[in-house]
Amino acid sequence: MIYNLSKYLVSDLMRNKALWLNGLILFIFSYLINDLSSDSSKAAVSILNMNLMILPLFSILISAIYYYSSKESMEFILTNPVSRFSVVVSIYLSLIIVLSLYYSVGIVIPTIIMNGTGYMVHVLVPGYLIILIFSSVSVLSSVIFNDKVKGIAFAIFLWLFFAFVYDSLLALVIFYFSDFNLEKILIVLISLNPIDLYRINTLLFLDTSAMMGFTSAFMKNLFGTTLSIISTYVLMGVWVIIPFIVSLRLYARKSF
Amino acid sequence: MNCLKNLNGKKHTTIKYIRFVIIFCSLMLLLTVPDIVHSKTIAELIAQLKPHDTLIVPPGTYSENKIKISFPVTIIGNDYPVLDCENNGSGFLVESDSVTISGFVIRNTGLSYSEEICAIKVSNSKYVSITDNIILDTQFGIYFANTANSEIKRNKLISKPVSESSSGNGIHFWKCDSIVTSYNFIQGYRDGIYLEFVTNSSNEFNRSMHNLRYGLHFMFSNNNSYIRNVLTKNGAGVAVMYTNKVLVKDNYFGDNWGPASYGLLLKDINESTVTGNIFNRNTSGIYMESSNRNLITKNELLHNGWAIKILGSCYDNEITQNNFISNTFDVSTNSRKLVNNIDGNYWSSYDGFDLNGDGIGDIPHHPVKLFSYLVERSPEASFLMKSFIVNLLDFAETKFPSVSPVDFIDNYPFMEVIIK
Repeated sequence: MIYNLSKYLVSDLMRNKALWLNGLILFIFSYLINDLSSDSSKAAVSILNMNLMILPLFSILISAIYYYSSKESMEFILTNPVSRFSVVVSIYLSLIIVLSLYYSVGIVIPTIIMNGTGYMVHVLVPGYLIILIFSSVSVLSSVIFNDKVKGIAFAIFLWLFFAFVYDSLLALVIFYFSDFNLEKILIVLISLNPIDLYRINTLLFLDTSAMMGFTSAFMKNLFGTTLSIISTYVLMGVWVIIPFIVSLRLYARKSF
Repeated sequence: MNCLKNLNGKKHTTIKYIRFVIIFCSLMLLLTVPDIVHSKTIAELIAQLKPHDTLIVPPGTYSENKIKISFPVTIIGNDYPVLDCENNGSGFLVESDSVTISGFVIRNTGLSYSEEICAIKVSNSKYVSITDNIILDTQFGIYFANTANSEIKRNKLISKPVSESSSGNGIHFWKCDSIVTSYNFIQGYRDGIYLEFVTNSSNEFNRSMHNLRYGLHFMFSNNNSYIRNVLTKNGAGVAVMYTNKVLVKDNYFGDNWGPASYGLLLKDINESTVTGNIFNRNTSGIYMESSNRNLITKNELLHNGWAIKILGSCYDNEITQNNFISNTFDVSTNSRKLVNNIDGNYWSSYDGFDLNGDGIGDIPHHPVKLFSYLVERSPEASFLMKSFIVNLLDFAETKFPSVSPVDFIDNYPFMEVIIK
């Protein structure tokens, strides 16, 4: 059932020309970045910046809007003997399949072709996880709010919070408590925000890490490189799974 | 054997047979030559000399060490004879004026933690010339102690670095005066060129790279000049300390990249000139601490993490006519006061305009970004590197400066790259 449903949903999403337009714009951006950057490490930082900004926004908005626009047809489908579980799973699956496809075509493939250096792995692969995380967070917020405006507004708030507000709060913590030894607390705080997690762990593998001075040395010492990759992926995995499970349970108990 | 077969295969072979015998005999003679040489060691050859004689050492391998030279003499290696110290100690120990050592390969001195083991050690001498030697796998390379009016030229020093504590310096000076060090190539030591209490010396056209710690390191060495050296890929770049009146001109400082690497670290350097240098891809191009009244001009600072880090303990430095191109941060400081002059540079990050067309921007440039200032104040802020909020704050700060050093501005920024 999940297979049939998601096949239908994916083909529905793929027919959407506006989405393809977005994919094209991503492609143009990443082409320009890869073409104009003087060396691949600078291209990596630019791609990272673009991913940090666009991927969460893109996945959060498209997921929320698509959820609300297909809400009624889903409710109709539920009148048939279809489990609620398979409906949520197939919505989520089809969203991440299509978004990952856009990400691959728009950013990953041009970057690999034009600047395929080893450390690009650390820039590109967590991007998929960012898509998984923010789709799942967005599905959760859409399940919680029945009202479309509220739901989308909350989704945008989540993006703003993780991309801007959280870092501003971190900055405040750093400047007000700069007399204390903040390293370990900051690492914990950064693990709580997937965007920061992605940013810091990618920077550790780029030349820029030298400029982070003893912070990066501290983090490399604390984690070791392989351990830091594993813990990043595990934490990001938690960010995918928990909102998704919560949204499954909420959807199962939801009264329409 | 091929020769013989050919000879047998033809008639009238007598002449060819004689030719073969002659060639064979001369080959045998050639093979015996090294035996003749090895009958005497370099030390024995030197012992036969009178002061101011010249000795030409024949080619071959000499297994000796601690060869003392205690009277004026010129020793020249013919076709690079090898002095193999077999990990037992230093090579030449020069303790006399007017000694020349040239054209040797000196290798395998071994290492010691209690004394400085060097390929060539010169102490308490004048007019010494060390030229055209190749020095391989030694703890120290060339060591000058209390020596004056001497030169080290065209030597090649290559070692395999192990650790900072067990490696020595490539060229090491202690308490010297009027030394010329030029055209040397130094690789794989602790410090490439090290000077302590050295005055009136010039260091030119040297290449020092892949050293464990510093490419060039000097302390308490006044009135020296460093011209046209290439100092790249050293563990911590170049650090110079506690010195006045130095000329650093037309050097290349590149690829010193790491958490504790500096293109040129100036600590307690006063009244010196840094001009015409290229700083390319260093974590910090120039790092200045407690350095006063220096002139930093006509340098190219390209693709560095921080082009110049200038701490609040620096006064009255003149930083002018430099090109700051594609650095992540152009200037960083932890002080809010303007005590150094940074007028008249070119900044690739400058976004002003020039209405009257005189080549100088009409609005002043603030090279200190808020973020670099904050990182200088509290290093934990580097957790926020490349975050949007930082870019946003930086942007707001350039338009309405409130936190970063208000006075730290270039009033006359150039619109185009300054060409010398």
